[in-house]
Amino acid sequence: MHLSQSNSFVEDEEILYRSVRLADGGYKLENGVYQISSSAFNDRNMQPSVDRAQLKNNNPEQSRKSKTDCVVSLKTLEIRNETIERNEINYILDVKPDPTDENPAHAIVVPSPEYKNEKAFRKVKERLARIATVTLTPIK
Amino acid sequence: MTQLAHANYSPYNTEFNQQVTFGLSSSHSSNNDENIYKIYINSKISELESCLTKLNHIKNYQNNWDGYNAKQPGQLAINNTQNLLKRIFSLSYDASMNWSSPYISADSEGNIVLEWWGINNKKITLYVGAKENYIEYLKSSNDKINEMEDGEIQNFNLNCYVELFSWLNR
Repeated sequence: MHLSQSNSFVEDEEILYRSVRLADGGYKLENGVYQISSSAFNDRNMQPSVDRAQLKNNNPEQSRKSKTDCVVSLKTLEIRNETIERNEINYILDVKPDPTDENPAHAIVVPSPEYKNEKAFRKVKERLARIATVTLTPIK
Repeated sequence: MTQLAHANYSPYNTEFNQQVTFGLSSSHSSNNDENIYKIYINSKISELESCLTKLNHIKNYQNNWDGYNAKQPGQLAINNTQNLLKRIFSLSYDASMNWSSPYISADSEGNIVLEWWGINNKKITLYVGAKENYIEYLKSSNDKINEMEDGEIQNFNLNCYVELFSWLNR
């Protein structure tokens, strides 16, 4: 198996997909520009799910959950380059494989150490929304 | 759908009407200007109505509405957001600033999330929960997480409004 398809590590160069729902307030379209909301990266466990593009045949369509969703792309290295300092704690972000039977491409964005509260995670969501690139627009 | 009485809507009693009335009598003396102003006011009120309608829609979210185990948005959070939006709407007139609708969503903890995008990549996000007259905010102006500013506001007033929204559009 090529290293980039390993189930134990996500390479820095890997592209990640996330399906962003319109109905849940994940994005808005204004003057032809998609604005990604920080809510697009909501996760109760504060570990947003993503799909590893290489394990989706680099086809974002395979990550789309509904026709009105758009799919955004993120670069693993950009996420790993982030550190968040809050209340004298430095959080480092990582992307870890989390394959499931239904979705072998599944990975999660995790902090180290775990967030003490939601405030640091809110900043991460904001940051993820800013670096996310719309790769697939909704089907009209 | 939430219905508001256009043109004589008063989210905070006389303040709104005074603002409109003073505006019409002092700086908008001609009928033409008056009509343009009324159209402007009504369009802004329509935007506010749309926000309140969206909140009514969010009210129907159930637990796990996002497929990631999110909590159902709380009724108190929705009520507090309705009150906050009406207040911000009114304050925008008090401050002679332009009202703009936020993008409305919810987070995993049942809070309502309001987002405004401004100029130069600036953005304000407000989190409204079950606690009355209390919000949390996040200001971001670039891609650097550690330069984002967060905080809490009790009793959102004119000063808070001017400080946040002047920054957003500066």
